[in-house]
This record gives sequence, structure tokens and C-alpha cells, in this order.
Amino acid sequence: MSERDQQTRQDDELAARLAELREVTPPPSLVPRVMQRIAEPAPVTLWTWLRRPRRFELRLSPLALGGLAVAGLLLVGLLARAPHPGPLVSGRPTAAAAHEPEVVLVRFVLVTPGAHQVALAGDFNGWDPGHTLLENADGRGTFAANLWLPRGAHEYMFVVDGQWVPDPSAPARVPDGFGRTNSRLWL
Amino acid sequence: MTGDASVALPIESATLGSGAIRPDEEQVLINRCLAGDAEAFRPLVQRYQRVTFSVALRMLGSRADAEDVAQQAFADAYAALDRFHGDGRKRAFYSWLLRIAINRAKDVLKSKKWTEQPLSADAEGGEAMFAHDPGSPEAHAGQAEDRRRLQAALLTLPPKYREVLVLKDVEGLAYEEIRPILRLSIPALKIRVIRARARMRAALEEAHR
Repeated sequence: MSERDQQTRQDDELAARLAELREVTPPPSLVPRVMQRIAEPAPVTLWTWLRRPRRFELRLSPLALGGLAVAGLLLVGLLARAPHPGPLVSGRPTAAAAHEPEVVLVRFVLVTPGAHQVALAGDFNGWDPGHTLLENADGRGTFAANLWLPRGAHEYMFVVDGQWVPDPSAPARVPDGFGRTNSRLWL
Repeated sequence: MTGDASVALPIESATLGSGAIRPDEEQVLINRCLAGDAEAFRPLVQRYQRVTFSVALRMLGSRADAEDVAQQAFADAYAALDRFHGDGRKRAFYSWLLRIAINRAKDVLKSKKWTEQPLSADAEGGEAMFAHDPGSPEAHAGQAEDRRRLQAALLTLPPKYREVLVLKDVEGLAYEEIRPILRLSIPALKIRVIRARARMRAALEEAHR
């Protein structure tokens, strides 16, 4: 037998002996412990925290949402003060449009779940409750409309299913002279 | 000796069978895990618990440490399932899991520097007697002694030789299967196996003197 054959035979014998070590019974606790471990919440590292998908749910009362709406409205107003390229004022040419837009895009929002129709009436549309209807934006009572308004102070009210109601989060309210209050904003 | 010494399993469930889960079913189970169904991981743990524990045991020589490593390997695999890409490869999850187990076992070896420590004596102490084994008590004693000698010799080898012998000769994996686990080319693997066997024979002879 050559030296190579002898080594091959020795290798085969050794492999056969080592194969006997394969017969191992894992402890019965292994599977339940693994399952217990993976059921436990993993330790949170910064990286896993950053990578973890998450779902946000924002619940706000109508009052708070109204507040946000007004804040957004003011923000839009402030942003609109900056010089805008054409599209913001296009279609509404004014004498001063080339320098400073005199109209501002304003988004009105009122959250009133259960309402069927919400309109906006103000000095900018002749207080006509049939002129500016708000869209039920989310189908769950968040009514909204975007309007171009001239700069300056404006008074307005929402008309919810025929009932005149002030904006609960308007920056200011002023008497209307008829025993009620109008909402007021400045642009 | 551990408390599970009396547990007997039929040999079919103690070795890596092919009938329990088909490879495509493994991917389905993995997808279910990724969708949040942790219980879908159980069949995978059941299927691979023996080989994972066996590899860890032969690398470390201690049943307690082997169980810890096997647990950790499964937990790590579960946590990283979103990074597992089987791509339809045969036994892809098996290879991936064994790679994790080997790495965890080597971490333990590094942390404890076991290569310089006296050999652990409990590797064979907890071995189950298989229900189908018809051997006499004397034959059992002889086999157990031979296993102890083999395990002791295995533990004297450097980890890089130990791991290749565990995968090739103990578990009987093909070179093609070992390649992704150890990330070595097949020629490099063959050379390492030759050297590992030579070291193993030398260790056995040394112990026999």
C-alpha cells in the first residue's frame, strides 16, 4: 500500500470515528428557551430604534385641531409674505404683483365630525354661505378649503349645516354688531 | 452530567432529516416570522436544534455552553431574518444558521481562551443512550470512552481546525456546504481538512501514549 493510500485509509477511519460524535441529543429545554427568548422584546439599540418601522397615530380634539389649523394658516400667511415666483399669484395679477403679492393663499380647516355641509362666509365673499363650501378632506369631518385673500384683516364665520359658528381657534374674535362674534384674521 | 441524560430520541429525529420541512417551506416560515408571527420560527428551531447544538458542543466541549451558544445562535438568526437572503439556494438557512453558531462558539472560545484551559469533562457525560441501540453495557462503555478521547483530542486543536473537522467529519457536510459557512474556497478547505486530520491523529496518538 502506498503512503498516499495509507493516509487515505487513515483519514477514512478517523472520519468514521468522528462521525460517531454526531449522535447528540440536544437538551429538551433548548426549543422552549429559544422560543421564550425570541418572544421577549429585543434590547433596543440606537441603530435598531432608528431602523424600526413605526406607526404614528395623532389624536386631537377638535379644539386642538382647530388651533393647529390656525397655526398652519398663519404659517402660510407668513410664508406667503416672502417674494413668490409666478404660480402663487398667477391668475390674480395685481399692480404690485411684480414686487410683493397682494393676495395670500389661506387654508381654512374646521373639524366637525358628523357635519354634512360646512361653508365659509366672510367679508371676502359677501358673507354668502353658499359661495365657499369646504371639502370633507378626510371623509371623517375635517372640512377644508383654500382661498386666495387680499392682505389685511378679514372677518369670517363657518356655517355648519346652516348654523353660523365662529372659528374655535381664530386668532381673534370681534363683535358683529348683532349680538354674535365673528372670527378675525390678519394677513 | 446534565439532567437530560435520560432523554431518548429516535435516531431519525436526532439527525438532520429531510422530511420535516421542505426548503421552500422554510422560506414560507421565514416570511411568516418577518410578518411578526414568532411561532413560525418553532419548526425551524426544532429541525435544526440537533445540528446547532452538536456543532456548538463539539466546538466547546461543554453541554451548558453549547446550549447557551445554540440559543444565542437561534436568537441572533431570528433577529437578523430580514437580512437573510436564501435566494432559493438549497439549505441556505441551514448554512447561515451554522455560520452564526460557529461564530458564536468562537466568540466563547476567545472570551474564555479555552484553548489554554483544561478540557471540559462534561461533553460526553450528558449523552443520551439511544433507544434503538442494541449494544451491551460494555460496548456502550467502550464507545463512550472512544467518544471522550475523540472530543478531548478535538478540543486540543486550534479552532480553525476544530471547526472544519466538526463540519466535515462529525456532521458529514460536503465541501460545497462548508464553503459558505467558513467562507473559504474549496481548495483551501481541502487543505485545511488534511491538516486538521493530521493534527487530530497526532493528538489521538499523543493521548494514547
